[in-house]
Amino acid sequence: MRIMYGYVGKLLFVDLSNKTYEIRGLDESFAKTYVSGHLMGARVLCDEMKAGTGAFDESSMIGFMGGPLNNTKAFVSGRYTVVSKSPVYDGFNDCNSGGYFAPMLKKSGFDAVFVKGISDKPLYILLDDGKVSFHDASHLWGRTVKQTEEGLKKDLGSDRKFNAAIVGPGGERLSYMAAVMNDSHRAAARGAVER
Amino acid sequence: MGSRKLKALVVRGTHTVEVADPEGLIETNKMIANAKTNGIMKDYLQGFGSLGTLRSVEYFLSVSQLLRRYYYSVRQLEYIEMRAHFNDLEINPLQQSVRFVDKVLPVTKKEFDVLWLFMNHPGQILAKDLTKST
Repeated sequence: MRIMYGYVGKLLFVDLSNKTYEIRGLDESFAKTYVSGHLMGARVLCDEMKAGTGAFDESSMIGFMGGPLNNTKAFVSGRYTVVSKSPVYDGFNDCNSGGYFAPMLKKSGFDAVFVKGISDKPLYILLDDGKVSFHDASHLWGRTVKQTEEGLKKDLGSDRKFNAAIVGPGGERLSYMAAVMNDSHRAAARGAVER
Repeated sequence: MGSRKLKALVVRGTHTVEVADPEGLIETNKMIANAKTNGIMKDYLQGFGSLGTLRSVEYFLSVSQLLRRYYYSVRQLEYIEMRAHFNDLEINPLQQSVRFVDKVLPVTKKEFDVLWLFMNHPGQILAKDLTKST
């Protein structure tokens, strides 16, 4: 197989309703046509979601996208994009954030993660070197971002570095002002994507 | 995420990403560092504030060029550098060099800036203040 320069070559599709996931390969011509998280996310959402899907529907998707420069030695290359349907205006929405989440997402072995479905219990997803696992997060539910990060450190141990995109109490209560947070102070918030 | 009961997406690992042209990438890094400290981008945004118009447009042009260069060195595609041409005169904004036919002309920073300003506004009459501020 030819090496995908700048990409890991894997897309992850998670279904929270029945806790399953699917790993799909990234096509070279697809990656060439749709550069960056924004464009690729828009294309995948357009293909996967039916027209008229509401932002809170079970089949509605939220995607965490990395780009080709993430985790390379290039400067100014640490941003990831969150794509979804916005409940504010019911259309495609993208927002982005910096920090160390994007390089870590590539290090975990995926270019992008798409999540759909609704879980019955609070949970968090752990991506570890290409492995996907679901963990109970009822002890983290209702906590602020910093408290959640500390809780995750307790759960996972601090011997290996990790990074997390987290929603705080605002996101849990579906506030339109809340944000997806990483590195405890970096936010991806435009268009109420955290809902 | 809140409506799906998804509290967090946690990532960790040691995967690496292959780059088509590692040397070209590092060279581009050097170029951007150089441009920042003593090249065409020096003092651009600071001097003009957040409303910097003319110069910040140039600045972003240079940045987008560098980003393009990054992209091409990572993804193994041919990189075509943007240059301005006027008859036999060729200006390279990244390297701040001026060529006439095959000769490289020695220009100072001020001369280059004025030349670049005129090249970007062909057929226009520019106010004296504008060229002065350049």
